[in-house]
This record gives sequence, structure tokens and C-alpha cells, in this order.
Amino acid sequence: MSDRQHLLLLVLSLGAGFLTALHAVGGVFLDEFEDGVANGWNPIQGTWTIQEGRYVLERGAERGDSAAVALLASPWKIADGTISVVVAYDESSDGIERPLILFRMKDELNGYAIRIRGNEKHIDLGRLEGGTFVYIRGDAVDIMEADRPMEITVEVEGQFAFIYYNGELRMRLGDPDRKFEDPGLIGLGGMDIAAPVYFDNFRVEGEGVTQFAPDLRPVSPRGKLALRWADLKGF
Amino acid sequence: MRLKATAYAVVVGLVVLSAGTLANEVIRGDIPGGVFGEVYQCGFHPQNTVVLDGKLDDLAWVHAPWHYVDNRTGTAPAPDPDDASYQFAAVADNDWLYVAFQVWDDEIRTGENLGGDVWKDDSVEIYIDPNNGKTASYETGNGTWDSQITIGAINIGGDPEAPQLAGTGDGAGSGTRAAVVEWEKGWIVEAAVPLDLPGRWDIRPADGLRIGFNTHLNDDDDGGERDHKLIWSVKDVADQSWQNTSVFGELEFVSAFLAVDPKGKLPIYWGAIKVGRIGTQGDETR
Repeated sequence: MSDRQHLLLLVLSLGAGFLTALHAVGGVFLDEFEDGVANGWNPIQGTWTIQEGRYVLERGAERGDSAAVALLASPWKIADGTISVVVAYDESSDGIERPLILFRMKDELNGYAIRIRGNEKHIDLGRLEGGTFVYIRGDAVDIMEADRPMEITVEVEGQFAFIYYNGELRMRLGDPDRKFEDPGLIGLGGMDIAAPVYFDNFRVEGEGVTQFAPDLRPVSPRGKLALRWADLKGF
Repeated sequence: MRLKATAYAVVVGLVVLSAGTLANEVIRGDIPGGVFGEVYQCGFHPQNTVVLDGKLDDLAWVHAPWHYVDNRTGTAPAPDPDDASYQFAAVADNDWLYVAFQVWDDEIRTGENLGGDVWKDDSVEIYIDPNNGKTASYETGNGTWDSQITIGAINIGGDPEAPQLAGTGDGAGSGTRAAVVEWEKGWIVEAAVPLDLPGRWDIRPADGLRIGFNTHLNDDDDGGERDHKLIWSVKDVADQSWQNTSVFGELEFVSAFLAVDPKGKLPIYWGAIKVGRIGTQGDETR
């Protein structure tokens, strides 16, 4: 083989490796909520609003033991990938609220949940089963400061969820029962909501993930005109 | 020619870089050592006796396989191997199951939590399921008694005959002895668990006998709660070994005379090959 052939082989090998790596990384979805609307989010339980560029869970689910849930109405589902979000407690809060990050959601109220216990400096992995949180395992995060926004990143890989607090890997937790292994939706949620909980800079990375634009989706015009006309008429 | 050499150097460099990080592994001894996180092969022989002094210079340790648990393997990983990681080995004679831990720990914390809470400080845990029952809760019958034996770094410099122990399944009453010492990058535990503990278990090592087994490391960096938790068994994904033996790995007894100097080893090794016990499984070295 000539030098040129060796060089070509090397370039091709590195190129193939690079493309493989790119494929494995997949795409990204990002919602910074700066547009003031929560298009693309599907609130299931609780009262959700947009305030000052953040997605806010104002009130919890009506049933006390049930989680408030808002699912990302994405056209894709993922089993493995990386989810990150900045979570903040309200100034009036004592940290008793329990923000949730949801993944592999089989339906609206069943899937995995990462639960943050601000006042106890703890993060848990559990399952949402019919909207109720079933604890699997958690651990202390003694560097947690509930009065400051915290970036939580969840790297889901097979049986494990690697949980990062402000960029620092803190936990590697798994479900011994492997209840939810299939690709599912991603979401946010909360329990024990006595004061608002704020979510910002929501990011999902994974194979097949795309930045979707809900407003541009085709809709059926049927039934729309009458309502719009009524709006114009001022009813 | 120079180009070819450069190209190969780049490829070799990438391979070396990708392999340069410490990762879980089985470091074989005179016996292969088993499969990481699933089975530890434990050499047993009447003369595999270890002196409990915290030094790992006993010939049994030199010739035993070691399993290295990296800083990411557990429910609460550590940022780097020097912060928390460990390797362990086990050997047995007629009376004792010896388990050694070499712990990498850049901040030794002890004494803040005592008794049943010693797991919040620096400590190691040995798990024993004598009948390999793999039950969802601990058994407490004679011969089936499951136990978590927690040995804290608080025992550094203590009396090996009377260490402070804890753990579910009455780890404190397990009759375990332990020498605990510091080394330059952390601390070392040399423990001896009795094979015959009346009313609890009577483990009689035999070639191929398996018991339920697991090891954990608790690391506290700054007082207060535990900071890192590393776990050997691949089935224990949620730190449940303290109450559930179905997530343990296994310890397999393998007849092997480890406590000898290399001169005498060849016939034994050859004998093992002859009976097909030594293969390529776990054939990795650090």
C-alpha cells in the first residue's frame, strides 16, 4: 500500500468513527420557555403556567397522593438519552415541594420519575404508577442548596439512570424490577406543591430526538372557524 | 514511510487513550477469579490462612484473584478513582473466610456516626447468604442466616479480635474479626468471617460450592451523610443488599493452595488445568 492509500484509509476510518459517534449522539430538543407559551407541552394534572421565561407548576394534582404531570407532546419517544432541566423553588418555599423529572412514560401517569427533596437534600428514583410515586432508591446530595436554581441532568442508559447535580455525577440508580424499558415520553411534574416550582432550560438529547415546532403541525380546519368567528364577534 | 508511521501512531494513540481509564475488572491470581459483579472465585485450602495485621503481603492475597470496583459502579458514584474506589479478594481455610479490601479514599472520615449508622461514614460491607437462598428478605434460620457485616474505618488501629461491627442480619454478632489500617491512598481492611457460626450458618467449602456474596463501599468526604456508595454485584442496582439477598452476586469456592511460594505452584496449577477448572474466564490483568 502506498503512503497515499494509507492516508486515505486513515481518513476514511476516522470519518466513519466520527459519523458513528454523531449517530449515537442523536438529536437535541431544547425549550427555554422564552417565547412565553407552553406549546408542545401537555398538562395532565396540576396547574401549569409560563412566567418570565420559565414553566411553572403553580398547583399540584387534586388528589393529594398523586403527582402533577405535564408531558412533552413530542413526535418521538426515547428509552435512553440525556434530559436536563434547571429547577428552582419559590422564594417563599421551605423546600418541601417535590419537583419531578419524568422519563420512559408509558402513558400519562406511568413511567419513571426522578424526585427532588429540596429541604432534605435528597434525590430519588421512583416509578409513577397511576400517578402515584413509588420509591425505588435515593441518596443524599449534601451539596444541594434548595434556595438556588439547580441543574439536574439525568442520563438514562439501559437499566441505569445517572443523575448529575449541577454537573456533578451523584447517583447511578436502577430499577431491579425493570418495569419500564420501552421508549416513552419525557415530562415534568411535582408533588406536595405548597408554593410554585419553576422549570427552565429543558433539554433532551437522544437518538431520534428532534426540535419540533408544535405550532407548525397540520391541523384540521374543521370546527375552528366558528370558534374564531365567535372570538371576533367578541363573545 | 513517515506518513505511515504517523498514521499508525495516531491510531495506536487513540486506542491507548480510550483504554487508559480505570474500569471494573477481574485481576486474576492463581485461579481465574470469576466474572465481575457476578461470581467471585475464592481459593480454599487448610493452609490459606491469613494473618490479620492489615498488611496485604500474605501469600494468599498475592496469589488470590482481585476484583476492582471503579468509582462509577454504585448507586452514588465518586468523581474520580482516588476519591472512592476499591478492590477486594477472598480466600478461605478450614475455619475462616478471609476478605480483604484495598480502598482508595482521599478523605478518611470516621467517628461521626456509630453503631447502626456507621454506613454514613467510611466503611465496607460484606454480605453473606450462606445457603444461596436468593430471597427477597433476609432469612434467619439455622444454616440460612443472612448477614450484612459492616466494618468502619473507625477500626483503624483497633484490636482485630474485637472490631466495631454493624449491619442487618446481626452483622455485629457475626463473630467477624478485622484489622483495619491506613495506606498512602486510603485504607485497608483484612477481615475474617467464621465459616461455622452456631445457630446461624455452617459453611463447609467444597469445590464448586456457591454462597450468596456481595461487597460495598461507603465513602464520606465531609461529614454528615454518606457521599458515595460503590457496589460490586451487578444485580444490586438500587442498594438493596441490606434487606434483599436476591440481588447478591455469588462466591464460588475453588480448591486451591494459594499460600505457597511460586516454587510449589506448578503442580497445583497443572492439576487444575487437567481437571478443566482453569480456563480463560476473567483472564484480564490490570
